[in-house]
Amino acid sequence: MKEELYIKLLQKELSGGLNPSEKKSLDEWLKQSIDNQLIAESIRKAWQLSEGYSKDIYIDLDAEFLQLESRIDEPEAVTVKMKPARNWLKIAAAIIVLIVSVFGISRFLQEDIHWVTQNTSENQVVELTLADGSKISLNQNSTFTYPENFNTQERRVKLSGEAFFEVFHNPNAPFIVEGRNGETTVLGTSFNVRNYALEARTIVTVRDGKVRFSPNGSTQHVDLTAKEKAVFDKERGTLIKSKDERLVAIKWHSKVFDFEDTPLEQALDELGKAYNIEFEILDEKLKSCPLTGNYERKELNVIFQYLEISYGMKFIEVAPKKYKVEGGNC
Amino acid sequence: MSKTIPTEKELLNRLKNGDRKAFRILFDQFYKYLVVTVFNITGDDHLARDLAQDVFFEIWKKRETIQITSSLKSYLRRAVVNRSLNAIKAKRLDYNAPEKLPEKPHSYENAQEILEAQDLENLIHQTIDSLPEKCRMVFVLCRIEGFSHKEVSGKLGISPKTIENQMTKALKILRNVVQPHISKGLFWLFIPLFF
Repeated sequence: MKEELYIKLLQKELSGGLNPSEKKSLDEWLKQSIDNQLIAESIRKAWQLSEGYSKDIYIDLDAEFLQLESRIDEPEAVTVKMKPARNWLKIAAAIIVLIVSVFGISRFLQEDIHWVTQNTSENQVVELTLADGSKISLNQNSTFTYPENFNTQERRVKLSGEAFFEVFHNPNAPFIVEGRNGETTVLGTSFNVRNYALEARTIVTVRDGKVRFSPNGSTQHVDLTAKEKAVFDKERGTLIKSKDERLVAIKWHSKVFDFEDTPLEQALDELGKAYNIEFEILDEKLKSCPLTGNYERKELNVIFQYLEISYGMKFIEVAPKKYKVEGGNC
Repeated sequence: MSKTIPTEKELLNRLKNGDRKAFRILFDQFYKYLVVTVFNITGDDHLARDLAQDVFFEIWKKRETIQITSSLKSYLRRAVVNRSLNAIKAKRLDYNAPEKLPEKPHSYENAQEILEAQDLENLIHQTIDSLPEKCRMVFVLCRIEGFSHKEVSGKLGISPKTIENQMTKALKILRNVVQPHISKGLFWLFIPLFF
């Protein structure tokens, strides 16, 4: 306990708040023993060595600037001010929720739904296929809970974090993603939901089809179609619908390529499939050049730049989604 | 042919006129710095990207009227640090609630391990990473980001006493990492300094 007191004084000394009488008692304590001096020296050393502390983080400047630009270019954004539900409405809603949950629980018991939870850690993306054939890519640091089998009326899943959904079309059973701040309801479509616990915003982005997002605690909702997104800020209570022409929010989901001595022809074939484009390689020798590299969640033109620098070839767009590869060598 | 690098003032003037290229150059120069600053303070990389994006978004929105008297870097830094502190404050953490100590504190007891952990500085930085959340935040703000206890106390709305306690806790943990390294022989060299 005594030691703790002097560590406190040492802390004060280093932070610059030690008064003369404290300094005196600290000096006396130091003179008492070598052990005390050892403690003091360890603390000073720790203080000194901590100075250069900094975390490291990988930043893809191109991708993150694109994201920023998409926010800047939002002329069609509509802000929906959230109105708190009227009191009697809230009570009515609470009763309905109660009824629904009693009903839900009994149904839950009847059908004996078995829930499965999938977690992802840092830098981990997991692909899942659900019982109805829907495909889900779960982004890093996320938790996804889904039933082993769906019941017939609805397909309900839970998400904390971020995931991209490709929902199997079934007009009779809506697919509902229960998020931290609201529900996303669809029939069959592909879309992205981002709602991390530490972020105030929930972002729903639609690639194709129709999606409805309903924030919790409100009677409002937004309907989204292809290339639209809804941003719900629970702190400001705003729900903003806007265009997202380039689907920047979904970029993380685009494929990850890891090539190791892969012949260029094969590598371009893989890239082409993922991005839905075709390549024609003019130089025969170039086709077998080995390619090694990891192209993770990159924009296509960035990948082109890398390849152009590495092999000296040129990508020429000859028609929409068709590229000619000119020149270049290993 | 030599290309002249535009100065900060030129870039800001071009930004005022809505020049996206100038904006991109500034983004490339400072974006990572801002992300890392928030990441250091909060330990949350998603929040770090969000807040750094928010700052650049504001800069673009206010580009025509913006008045920057200090260097751009310190202006941006202040903006992002303020946002970080607001985000932390919004979480309403209880700084006096007990926190779990790091799972396995870095106490390297056998000599082999000490030899392996040659880079004491790295070890210290790793230990800072593993400090309990609130303790780490307070320590990084005061020690690394250079805020006075008074500033942190005011901005986070916590008492100076609490800050002192958290700083002391951090130093106690860090000391346990350092001590085995300097007790092995080297320490005797320092003794004359104390008398």
